[in-house]
Amino acid sequence: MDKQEDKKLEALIDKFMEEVPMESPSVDFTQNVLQKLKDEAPKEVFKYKPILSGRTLFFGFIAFVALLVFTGSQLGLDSDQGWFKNIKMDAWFQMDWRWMGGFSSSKTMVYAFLFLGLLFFVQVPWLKKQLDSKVF
Amino acid sequence: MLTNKEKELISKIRKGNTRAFSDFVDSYKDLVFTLSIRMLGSREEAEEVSQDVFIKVYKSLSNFKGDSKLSTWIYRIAYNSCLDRIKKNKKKRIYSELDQVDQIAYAEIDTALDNMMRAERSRLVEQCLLQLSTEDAGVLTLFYLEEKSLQEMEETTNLPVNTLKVRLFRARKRLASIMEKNLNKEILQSNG
Repeated sequence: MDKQEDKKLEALIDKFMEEVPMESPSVDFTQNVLQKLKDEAPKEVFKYKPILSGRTLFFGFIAFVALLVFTGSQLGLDSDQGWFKNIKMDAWFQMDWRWMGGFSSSKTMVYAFLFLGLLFFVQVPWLKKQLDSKVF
Repeated sequence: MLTNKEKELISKIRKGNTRAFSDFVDSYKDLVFTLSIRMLGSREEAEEVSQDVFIKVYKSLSNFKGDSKLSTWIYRIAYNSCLDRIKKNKKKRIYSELDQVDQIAYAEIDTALDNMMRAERSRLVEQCLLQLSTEDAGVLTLFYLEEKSLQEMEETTNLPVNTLKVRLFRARKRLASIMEKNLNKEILQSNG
């Protein structure tokens, strides 16, 4: 097809395409769009946002494990080893707290508390998963 | 790129003015719907996609920097939404395959259409447009919506100008051929 023919084709299509009227959607189109926006708005209000981000929890966990390892290495195998023996517990429990003056924590107790802390990091994602699947 | 009126309207919408957004939808709904119906071929689907286009526009208006014309930006969202819908549906529009187009009698089509009433003529052209492929109908509609600016079409479709020229030529030729087929042979003969 030569250029002359191309121009004829272009002119023909131009002529009729420019005449074709615009299509119009339904009368309540704008209303429907606004309604859709309103319906979507509450979802955003209740959108889940973690108090602590995943990164913060991760670094918290790493720091906790490091503390656990450090404490374990410092405590050693016997109760009178490590830095715990340097803490003057008696000075903390004077006057009203004298009844606790004889308190001493066994190694098992310390490890139990640390294990409890470890479980905290496990239960946060576990509880979130449970709530996500059952409540919402 | 943006007129003062458009800037003012966008600023009001960003502040959450529902009335302003309602005016915005009213201004562009026919343009978006025309493109959608020509590409999708179904009124119901075009209505649904057009509504989604305005929801997307509302949500991403804060990201609009004003580098292009507001209408071009809206067309881009509408064009891509239609393409996404077609992909999602996994069904192709039934259109006339015209791989071997013979010589078309342009002058005769022109005369025959000129002799028709304007409304009847427009209806025929609309019918013929629906027989084009999604790609051809989209490119051809955008060309006239974008006031024949290939640069703006390039921004909308993300296709280079040269590719657009080839596609436009092919779409025009297919449309002319469909129009020729649809025109009553008797009308053609009586005017020939």
